[in-house]
Amino acid sequence: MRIANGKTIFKTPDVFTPQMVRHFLKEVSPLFGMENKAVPDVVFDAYDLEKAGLLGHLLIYKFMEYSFKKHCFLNPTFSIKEGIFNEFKKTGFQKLVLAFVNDKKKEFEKLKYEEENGIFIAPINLANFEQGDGQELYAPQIRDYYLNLKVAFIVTLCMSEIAANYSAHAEDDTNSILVAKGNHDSFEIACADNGKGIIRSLRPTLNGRFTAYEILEKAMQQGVTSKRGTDHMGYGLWLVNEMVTMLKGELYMFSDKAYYINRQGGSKKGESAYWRGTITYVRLPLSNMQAIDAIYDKFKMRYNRIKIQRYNG
Amino acid sequence: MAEVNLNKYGTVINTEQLGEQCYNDIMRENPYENQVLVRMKNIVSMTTTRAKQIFGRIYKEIGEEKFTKNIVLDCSDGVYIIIEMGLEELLSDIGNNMNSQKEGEKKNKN
Repeated sequence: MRIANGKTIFKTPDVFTPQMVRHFLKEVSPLFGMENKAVPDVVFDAYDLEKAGLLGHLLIYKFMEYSFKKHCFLNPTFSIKEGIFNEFKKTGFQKLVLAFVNDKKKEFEKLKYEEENGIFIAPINLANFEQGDGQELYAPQIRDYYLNLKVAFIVTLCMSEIAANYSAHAEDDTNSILVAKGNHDSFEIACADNGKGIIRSLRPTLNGRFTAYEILEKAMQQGVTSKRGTDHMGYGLWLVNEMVTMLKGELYMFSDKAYYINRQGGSKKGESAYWRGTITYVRLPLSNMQAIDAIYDKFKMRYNRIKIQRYNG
Repeated sequence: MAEVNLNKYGTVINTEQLGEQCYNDIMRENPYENQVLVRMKNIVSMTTTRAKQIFGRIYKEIGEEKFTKNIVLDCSDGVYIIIEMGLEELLSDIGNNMNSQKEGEKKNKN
C-alpha cells in the first residue's frame, strides 16, 4: 500500500501467479486494521494487471469482499482493464466482484459448476459445508469429466480434504471459498478464508515453542491435528502434500505471517506479510499415469495391516 | 449376506452427519452376527476423518475378528485405501492410549 496525491493505493502484481502471493500480501496486509474505518479515496489498482491465474482471481475477490464487508473504505475505486476483467468470467469471479460493486450479495449463492473449452470450474461456498451444502463438491461432474476413476479420486480427495480442513477451522463469517479448475493435464484448487487461521488453531495443541512457519510445516505432517481425541486424524493436509510431492505439483499455504511452499517435492517456509485466515493453492499434474499408479501402490503397500474383505462380484 | 447401500448418499462422504448415517445403516444389519456387504462403488472419495468415523467406530465396537470376517466392501481402490488408513490410525490411537495408561500405572506404583 502507498499513499500518493491524497489517495491510498493498493496495487496488484502485474502478473498474478502463486509465486507473487507474498508480494501481494505485503501490499494488502494493511487492510487488516482498517475495519470500520471507511477510509476515503482508496484505489484498488489492478490497471497494470496483465495476467492472473485462479489464485490471483480468488485473492483479488477476497480483498474486495473483506474490505466491503468490514466497511474498510468509503466508495473505493477498482481500476482494471476491461479485457482482463473479462478473464474473471472464466473463473466465476466476475459476477462475484460485480455483486459487491453493485451491492447484489445474493450472487454468492449462485456459484455453479461450468465446463468450457475442455476446462471445468468448480466454485464452492464453504460456509455451510458441514450442513451438507456443497458437500458433493461436484464429484459426479468431476468423475464424468475425467472418466478415469483413479484420477477422479485424487482430484475429489484433494478437494474434500482441503474443504474439510477449512470447515474444521471455520468460525462464524469466515467466508471460506474454494474454487477448483481442471483439464486432463492438470488440476488446481485455490481456497481462502478470513477465519482463525491454521496457525492459531494448531498452536495450542503442539508441545513446544514453534514459529508460525514451523507450525505451518507441522500441519503438513501426518497425524498433526488441532482436534485430538476426535475422528480427525491429521491426515488430510499430509495426504495432499504427499500427492503434490509424488506428482511433482505445487502447494502454497499462507496463514497469519507465515508461508509454506512445496514445489515438486522441494519445500521452503518462512515469514510473510499478514493475512487474516488461510490461503491454500494446490496444482497437480495429471498426465503422468505412472506417477498416479505409484501413489496407489505406495499407499496400498503401507496400509494393509487389516485385511478387509472386498467384494469380487 | 445382508447388504447396505451407501451409494444412495451420493458420490462423496464428507460431512459428519452423513458419516453418522452410514455408520447407523451398517450397524442396523448387525455385523456382530451377520456378514454385511457394504455397497459403495459409486462413492468417488471420502475423507480420512469420515473413514475413521464410520469404519473405525465399527471396528472398535465389533472387534478385529468380526470386522474382517463380517464386513465386505464393494468400493474403489482409492476408497479402500482411505478406509485402511482410518483403521490403522485408530489402531495407533488405541496403542498410544494403552501406552499412556501403562505409564500412568507405573507412576502410581512409584
